[in-house]
Formats: sequence, C-alpha cells, structure tokens
Amino acid sequence: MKSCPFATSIDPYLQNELSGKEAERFEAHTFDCPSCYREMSERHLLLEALREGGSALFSRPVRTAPAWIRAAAAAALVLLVAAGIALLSPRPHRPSEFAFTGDETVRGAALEIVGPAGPVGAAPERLEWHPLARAAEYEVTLSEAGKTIWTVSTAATEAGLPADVRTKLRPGVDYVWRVRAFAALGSFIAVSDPAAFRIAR
Amino acid sequence: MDSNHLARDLDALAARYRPIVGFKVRRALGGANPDWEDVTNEVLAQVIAKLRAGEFRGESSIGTFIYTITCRRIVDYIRDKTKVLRHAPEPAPLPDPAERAERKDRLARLTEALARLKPKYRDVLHLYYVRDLSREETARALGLTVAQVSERANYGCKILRRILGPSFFSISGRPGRLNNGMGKAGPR
Repeated sequence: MKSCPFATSIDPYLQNELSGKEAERFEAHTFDCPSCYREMSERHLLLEALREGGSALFSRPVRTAPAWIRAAAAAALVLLVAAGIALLSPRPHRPSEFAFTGDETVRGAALEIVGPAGPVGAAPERLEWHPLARAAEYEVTLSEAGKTIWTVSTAATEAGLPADVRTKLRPGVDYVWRVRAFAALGSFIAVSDPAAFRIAR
Repeated sequence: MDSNHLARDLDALAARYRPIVGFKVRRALGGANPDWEDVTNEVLAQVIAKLRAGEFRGESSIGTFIYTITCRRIVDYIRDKTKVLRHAPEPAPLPDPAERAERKDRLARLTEALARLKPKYRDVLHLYYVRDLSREETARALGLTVAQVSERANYGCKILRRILGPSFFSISGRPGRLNNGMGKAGPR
C-alpha cells in the first residue's frame, strides 16, 4: 500500500521542526487522514514513553561513529591537508556544538584541545586538553591516515606519548588526535574536534 | 432524515473525532493539563451545535471544519487561562497508584524492546528523541548523514512498534502522562 505523502511530516511535526504554517497544514490533514492520524498518535505515545524512561532505557552509552567512518573522516582530513588547505597553520579549535550530561543536552559545552596542533619541531611528549566539568575519564586516540596508532584512557587532562610511539612518528606526516570524555558511570559526555600536528622535516 | 437518525450520525461523528480533537487539544495545552478533556468535550459540543444549525456547508472537508473549531476553542481557552494564571496557578493532579503501575509496566516493556533493537537504531533513537538533539547534531555525533538519521529514526520506531505489539498503544481511558486520551480509533 502506498503511504500518504504527508507521512514524512509526522516526525518533524512531533519534534517541533515544522514551521507554524507547515504544522497547521499537517494538523489539518490529520483530521482528514486516518492513516496519518494513527501513525502520528502511535509515534507520539512511543516517543512520550521513550522520553519518560530517558537514558535509563538505554543500558549502554551511545557509541560514536564506527571506526571505519572515523577512519574515513580522518583520511579525508589528511587529503585536505595534502591539497594545501591551511590545516597546518595554528588555528583556534572550534568547540563541539553539544555535549551530553546525564539526561540533559547541554548545548555549547565543549571539550577543547590545548595542543599540539599544527607544525611542531619534534615528536610531542604529551597531548593536552582543557578539563571538562563532570568528566571522570578521557579517552585519547592518535591516528595516522585514518588508522589508530595509539589510544589511552586517563583521568588527567594530558596524556604522555610513550617513547615507543614517539619514535614511530615521522616528519612530514599528519597525525590526527581527538579526546572523548566520559562521566563517572561511563556515559559519553563530550568529544573534541580532531586536532592534527605534523613534525617538521 | 429524521431527528433520531441525525442524532445517531452526530454521536458517531463525535466518537470518531474525539481522539484526534483530544490529541490536538492535549498537544496545545500540555500533557499534564487536566482541562484537556473538558476542552475536548466543549469542542465536540460546538461541532454538533454548528452542524445542527447548518453552519457546515461542505465548502471544506468535515475534518477541516472540526479542526478550525478546535483551534479557535484552544485559543479562547489559553486566553482565559492566562488571565486566571496571573493570580493563582493550579497544581497538576497527582498520578494514582494504578496509573503508576501501568507506567512502570510499559517502561519495562519498552526497555526489553529496546534491548532487542540493533545498536545503530538505538543510538539514533537515544540521541534524537531522548537527548533531543537535532537531526544534524545526531548525524555529526554518529558519523551519519541527516538522511540516514531520519531513516534510522523512522525505521527504529517501526521495529519498536512491531516488537511492542498493538497492546502497547491501546490504553485505558485514564488520563496520564503515558495516556494521551487517544484510543486506536481516529477519523475514518
């Protein structure tokens, strides 16, 4: 059976994403369309139950992007660098636009990186970031061409690069790193923007 | 048409539209507002009165006619209520024990259903509906496109609905947070 063309408006309507006029048009339509009304009322009940249960309904923390997607994103970033886009010039790190704390979404909170970023004279000894309220643990990943070459978890706001990792870092290669923050119960609360550094030849 | 026949037709019409009018009223007034049932009844009474008075001339659909009356009554209610609220806000009624038990049971069923859902759907439902991120923010957090977020949200809900079964969506007449006063019936 072909579904009503208005069916695609159900979610945006319930999520308050429609403009006033669009919402009115959709509401008026539901007074005449039993299919859309039934779908909308059931979806509404489901969403109300999901919101009432909150994060407790989801027994484990939200995952970030799968490894291969993060790898692809990092690889794309490296390509951009190779194409001459000014990644190597020091730039302020734009904070992420959201972070999660408990059951609330706190827009504007951010996990900001201190450094290293951009060109560096030698293999850095440590990676550093600003502390985030409520973060109990940070997970740092360092990647080369989209492949994770080192990761560590720490409660501190810096992570020392082990000697064996530092010796593997080669001049002229872009290394991308990012930090994720977790609350005491292990829930993911924020992620930094990726930062890249390159050791001068 | 004799008067008995007309009365039966109007009653049937009111029964048919009660859920959808109730949905619109509750959404406009807020789920915890106990007045939604009274406002819904008033809308339906107005609809019947106007139909009896011959005010519906078929220039629009009957749905649009009822929708217009519903919106006007909601505006009137909010205007009147605003005047009252300036002096003394009314406390929301406390949920009764049976309602709490029903709510607990429904949440347990929902938890079980979510556990059966693939992580790719659960993650989208969690961020988009529970954490209330926008589609764009959800897409960025999960490394997806906005279209994928929409698809997964929609499909995830459909799978949940299938797992939960129709009984999850057919609720008794008690008003409450999980009960929006809408049975399964809608406009036909």
